Formats: sequence, structure tokens, C-alpha cells
Amino acid sequence: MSSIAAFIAANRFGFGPRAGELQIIDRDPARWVLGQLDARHAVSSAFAGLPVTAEIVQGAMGQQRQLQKMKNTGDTDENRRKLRDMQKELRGDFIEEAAARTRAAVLSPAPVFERLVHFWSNHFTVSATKRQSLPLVAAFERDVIRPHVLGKFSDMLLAAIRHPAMLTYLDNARSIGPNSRGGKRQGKGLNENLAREILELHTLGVNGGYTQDDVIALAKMLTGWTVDIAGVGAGSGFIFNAAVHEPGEKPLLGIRYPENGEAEARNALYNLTQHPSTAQFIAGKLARHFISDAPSAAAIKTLAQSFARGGGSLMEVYRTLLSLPAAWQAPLGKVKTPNDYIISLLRATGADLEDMRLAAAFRDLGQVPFSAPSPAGWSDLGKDWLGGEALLRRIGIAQSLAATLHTRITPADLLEATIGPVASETTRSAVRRAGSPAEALTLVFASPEFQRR
Amino acid sequence: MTRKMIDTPLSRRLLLQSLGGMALLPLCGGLRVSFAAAPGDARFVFIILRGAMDGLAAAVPYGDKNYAAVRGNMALPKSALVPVDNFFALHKSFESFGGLFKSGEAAVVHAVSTPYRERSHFDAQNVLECGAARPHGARDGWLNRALDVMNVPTTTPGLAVGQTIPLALQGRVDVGSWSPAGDGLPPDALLIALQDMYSGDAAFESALSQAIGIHDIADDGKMGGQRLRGGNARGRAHMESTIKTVGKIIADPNGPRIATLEIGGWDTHAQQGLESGALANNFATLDAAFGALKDALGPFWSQTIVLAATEFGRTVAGNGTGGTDHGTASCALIAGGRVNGGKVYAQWPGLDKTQLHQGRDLHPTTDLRQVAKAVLQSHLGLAAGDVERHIFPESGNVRPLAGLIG
Repeated sequence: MSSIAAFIAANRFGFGPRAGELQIIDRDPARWVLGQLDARHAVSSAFAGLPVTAEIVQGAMGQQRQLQKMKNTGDTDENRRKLRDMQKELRGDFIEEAAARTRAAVLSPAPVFERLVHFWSNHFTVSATKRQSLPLVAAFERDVIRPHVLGKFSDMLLAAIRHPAMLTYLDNARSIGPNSRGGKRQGKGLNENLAREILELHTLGVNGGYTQDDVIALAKMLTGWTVDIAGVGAGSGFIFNAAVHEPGEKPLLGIRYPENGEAEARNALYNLTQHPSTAQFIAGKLARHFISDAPSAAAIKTLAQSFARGGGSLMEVYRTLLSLPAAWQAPLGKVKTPNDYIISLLRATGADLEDMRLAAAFRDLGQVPFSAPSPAGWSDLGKDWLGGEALLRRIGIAQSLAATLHTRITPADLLEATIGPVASETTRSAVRRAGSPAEALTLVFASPEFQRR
Repeated sequence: MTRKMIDTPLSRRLLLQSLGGMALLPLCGGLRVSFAAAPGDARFVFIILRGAMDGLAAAVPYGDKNYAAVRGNMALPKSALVPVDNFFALHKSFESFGGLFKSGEAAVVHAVSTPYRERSHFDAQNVLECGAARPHGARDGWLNRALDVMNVPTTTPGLAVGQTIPLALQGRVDVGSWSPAGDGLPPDALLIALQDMYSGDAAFESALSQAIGIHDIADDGKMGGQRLRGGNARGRAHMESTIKTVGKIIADPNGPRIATLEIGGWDTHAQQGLESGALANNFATLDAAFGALKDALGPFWSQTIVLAATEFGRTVAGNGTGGTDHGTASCALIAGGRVNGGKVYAQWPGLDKTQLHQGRDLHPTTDLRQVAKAVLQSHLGLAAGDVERHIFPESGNVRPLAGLIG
């Protein structure tokens, strides 16, 4: 039988084992985790043929022009049909993207890498709940998060803030310096949303020591950071529009930033990543995500020191995380999110659900990919995911999966291959006494051990 | 072993208790209580408006001489307003709530806020829900602590509408959640096996037993959506059909005493609209909740209070993008048979630039805990001492809002 360390490696740092994987991990669990921190995993065949950011921006602009034309020709049957087709296509693309993301995690030989992608994607939440951002959220993860997961935090932050999904989701694309040329002409002004969330959610954290004046200063620096709708920029979907950039010096957190166009916010973002509050904030989030809902202050401190020492080198922080004794202790402390639970089920069984069924499963469990309810992202805490209704939905999915798989998977084997090292006698006996193979399999999927990590 | 199944909800609960090998639900719920009886019968529905509702667009101080000037392009046209007196008007989306206001069953509390004075949604919602004077000042929710003090003999004294339980209702007392998309309970044999298996894990055990309790009362509804999102006519219709079932659960004589409902989509940084648009649509959804609750509760409406509140307000002036940014005071909407309605409760702070909080936000003059205390003490019958000690810590100088509950 495999060890508890193998279970921890597979579940706490991955999405749960595939058949036979626990034994492989058991040879050296820590090395199994570390070995996956390799940049070649940034590319996955699951994404073959999917568009890049700039293409999506241009596609959306084409649709916009078409919509405008339709507006001019009025409410005709043909226009209605066209509109329906457009919406259908948008929905279809989204479901395909969500399924590709899930398959990348299910099929990956490097689930640890995929967990980091999901973690950072959630840290820099952009959400399809906002219509304008919807077509861009999947490309955001592919083009911004994946390439930077093993790099510098400062590079990831910069790429995330400049991406059209973020610029639209947090309204910066429309923010205008009131004293800029464009602002004076149009009588429009600032939008604080992105600046506030950068400080509160992406870098310093809410108690990180900034004021309302800092929010406004950063918002001013960010004026002009907008979406390249004309397709004239460098092809990233980002462009700096100097005509709406607020002129003048902007003091942020005691540092004076003289008038310097696009470079102001670029410098400010970099300086934010070097602030001690940022190290502390990121350390806390990593510890809560990977170790425990209530990590020790000592663990967070060690991680924060590592973050600061490396100037935000993420590889260094991950190595520190994996060297913490707490990372390898107290299994089953955390509850898997619905996203991770579904991926665990698919990895464990080798089942492949078609796109629509996958989408329905995520919707049922209340965690549709790329669709967090707010810029704070999805919760990392078990208590937020373990309501009565939520548990019933998980059981429902366990049941329907078991109904199709019980003829080819033996419940006792699956138990050993997934939760063997940690299964309690209560769980084992419930599975043993089940009235049918389908019920037994349902019980393994629905067991606390399978849903925890 | 074969197990005989009995196919009625109540006996099913008993069956599960006896076969499940564990005390699933305390069965004090068997006694039927008549409507007019004990104070423990009162119901309270708390609607959490997540994202910071623009209170100045919901209940509009059109009689303030500075209103049009300071609101600028966000000032509502006359056609969007239904005046309720010579100073305040409701946004015209509040059809049902407006009707209740007219008949004296609804009121607005204005220039109200929690004690939180920063502008983070997430900290502010934490204060709104935990009931402490600062973020993370309490680990559980004030409504759960209220249930703890009330100690009513029902199986599920608290109900969260939605898949998960908001912090406001989390805590020591076991509460249930119900969400309209549910497929119902698994077959009995599986349920019993699950109960056995979860007996070794307290969190799973309690989640399952509360789910069973709720489904015994409401076994039918089928509609989508995890957290109810606002919207247009569809949002309204969806809310109405959800509330139909929620009302049925609450109006059961053994139904929950306190329920929460969450409506998101209030963070209107851009293009919030005036007479119509995103914000007006969300108002209509909220309005539908009030109207549908009154209809669904029937005779129970007379002993129910519904309070809708948000984590903070929005800036008085519009921003550069047709929206409003994070502010401070907002308004709260309250309705129910026992509300002294037909008026706006406000110590109006004024909208002159010098009267605004930090020169930009509506200045808070009423503490939301004053409203909550009025509900807890005058409606749910809790003692002032208990409220101060257990429910709102460090709130000694916060007095219940006088006259609100009759």
C-alpha cells in the first residue's frame, strides 16, 4: 500500500491520482511534485486550435461592427436570426474553452503545474460573468497565466493587468484622465475599479497599508492602459492611449512618480510587487490554498521571507512551500473545491465527459470555470463549499458517474488506488456493505476522504 | 439485509433516523403551533445585496436642494421617480415595494451603514455578516448567534437560499440551505449508507443531515442558478418562482425562523443606467423578492420582517464611465406586517460637498445595527442584554432604531 505522503502529493499539490499513479508517486513524493515545475508544461495539446488574445479582440470588434449594422437595419427576422447565431457561437466557444481547460488538468502528466495555473488564475480573477470579458477569459489564462507560473510575480502581474480581459473586467479600458486631452474634450473621467483591486486583491492585500488617495493615484497612472481595438499595437491586445492619460505627478505609497506616460503604472506595479505587504499577502494565499484553511503564522512568515528574498521569484517560493513540514502533515484538512473535485473524479476513473455534460457538472456544483462571482475569485475555504445542497449535488454527480462506470471499475480497487492510504474503517466498511457495485462506487466518490485533500 | 421503504416525507425522516444508526435530527419539530401564538413564531428574512447598492438611486432625495448638482449625470429624471413624500422618492422599478410602502407595510432607512468605513467589498461584507465592529471581528454570523439565543425547537431554525451558507448564517447552530436547482435526495438506501459513512466526519455529517431536513419540507422546485443574479424581466420571473418555494418552506409551522437570500450585481462601476438599465433591472429583481414573499407567506406575512441591506453605498457623484465608485452610506429597505411603514427613517446628512463623508460619499447617520437591533428585540423578542452580549459585540452605544417596528 502507498504512503500518506503519496496521497498528500497527489491530492494536496495535484488533482488526485490516476489509476496506478499513487505507487509511482510513492517512490519519492516530494520529487514527483518538484519534477513538474518545468516550463515545458506551459503548453498543452488540449489547447490546439484555440485562438490567441489578439484574434479574439479582432473577432469581437467584427461582431461589434455587425451588431451596429444590424441596429441600423432594424428589428428584422434576419437580424434576429443572426443575433441568435452570434450568441450561440459565443456560448459554444465558451463551453469548448471550459472543457479544454478541464481536459488539460485531467490529462496532464504535470497536475501540479495545472494546480498552479488554477491558483494564479483565481488570484488574478477575470470573470465571464461580465459580458464584455466573456470571450477573453480563457485566453487570459493561456496567454497570461500559463507562461508566467514559474517566473517572476512582477512579470505575471504586469501581463495580467495589461490583458484585455482584465482591462474590461475591471473597467480600466474606459477610465479617462479628467485633465487629459480626451478627458477635457469628452467631459469623462476616472474609474477606480482596477486600481483598487490591484492594491486590495492582487498585491498589498486589504490591510496592506494603502489609502483612498493611493487608489486614486494608481487609477490616474493607469489611465490610457486600454484594449487595442484597432489592432494597431504589438499584437498583445494592449495599447497605451496617451490622449486619455492623466498628466502630472502622482504620489503612491510615499513614492513620487513624475509624469511619464505608460511607464508610470509599469514602475508602480513593479514597486508594488517588492512591497513587504505583497510578500505577506501572497504567502498567506499560497499557504491557505495548498496547506490548510488556517495555516500557521510561522508557515506564512517563512513563505513571505522566501518571496521577498527572491524578489518575487515564484520557483523559489514553491520550493520553500514544499520544504515546510506542515506541507506534508495532517492530510484531509482541506475540502476540494467543486472544480478540483470534478477533475479528481475524471482522473481517478479515466472517464471522459462530453463538453456539454462537463459544463452541466460545473454548473450544478456552482463553480463554472472562468466565472467567479467577484474579483476576489473563488473561496479557498472548505466551509464555503460544504453546504447541504452543495453536498447533495456532489453526491448526484458521484451517482451518475458510478451508474456508467460500475461495470468496468471495481469499487475496492478504486478505493485503494485513490484514498487507500487514508481511508478510515468507517468508509471502508460502508463501501464493503453497499447494496450494489454502483452504490459502492458512489460511496467511494462521495467519501469524505475523496473530497478532502 | 433488505430495508422496507415507506414513501411519505415525514415517515421517511423517522425511518432514516431509526435505520441510519445515528441521531439525525432532533425531532422536537413534531408539535404544531398555531399562527398567532408564541414570539418564537416570528420570521425574519435578511436579503444581502452584494456589491454595494447605490442607495441614492434606490430611494432618491429629490427634495435636497443639492441633489441635481452633486449627482450630475447620475441624477435621475422625474420620470424615473415615484415620490413618497416631498423629499424622498423611490426608483420606479420598486412597484411592489412601493405598494407596500403606501399601505404602511414597508419603510426605508436612509444614510445607513455598518460601522465599517473603508471601501473593500469583501471586508465590508464580512462586517455586514459577522456583526462585529470591524472585519473578521467574529468568526460566525450574527444571524446564527441570534438563532443560538432564540433556541427555537425546530429541526432547521435557519435557512440559506442558495447552495452555500453565507457567513451571516454560519455558526454553532445547524442551519440548512436550499437552492432551486436541486435534484432532490438520493435514494433511501444510498442515503442511509452515506449517513453511516459520514458519521466519522463532522462537517460532512452535518451538511448531509441539514440537507435532508430541508428536502423533507420542499421536495419539488427545479430551476437554475447558484446565487440569484439580478437581471431584467427574466430575473424578476426567476426570483418570483424561487420565492414561491422559499415562502412555502418559511411558512411551514416548523419552518426556519431566519432565512437569508443573496442578490449580487450591485457593483455598478460603469453604465449603471438611470430610468432603465442594469441598476433598474436589479431593483426590479429585488422588488420581486419583496412582492413574492408577501404573496407566498400568506397569513405568515403579518409576523414576518424582510430587511434588505448592502455592504456600503456608492459615490454621490458619477464617475467618468456612467457609473459610481465605492462609497459609504446607502439605504436599507424593510417590509413586513409589523413594520411601521409608509415613511423614510433618516437623519438626513445633506448633499452639500461640505456635508459629504470625505467630500465624496453620503455621510452615514444611522448604524445598520440600529435597524437590526430593532428587528431582533421588537420583532424576534430577544432581550437587549443578549443582543449586546452575544450578537453585536461592542455595540453598547448603538440603540435600536425607535418606532421602526410596531
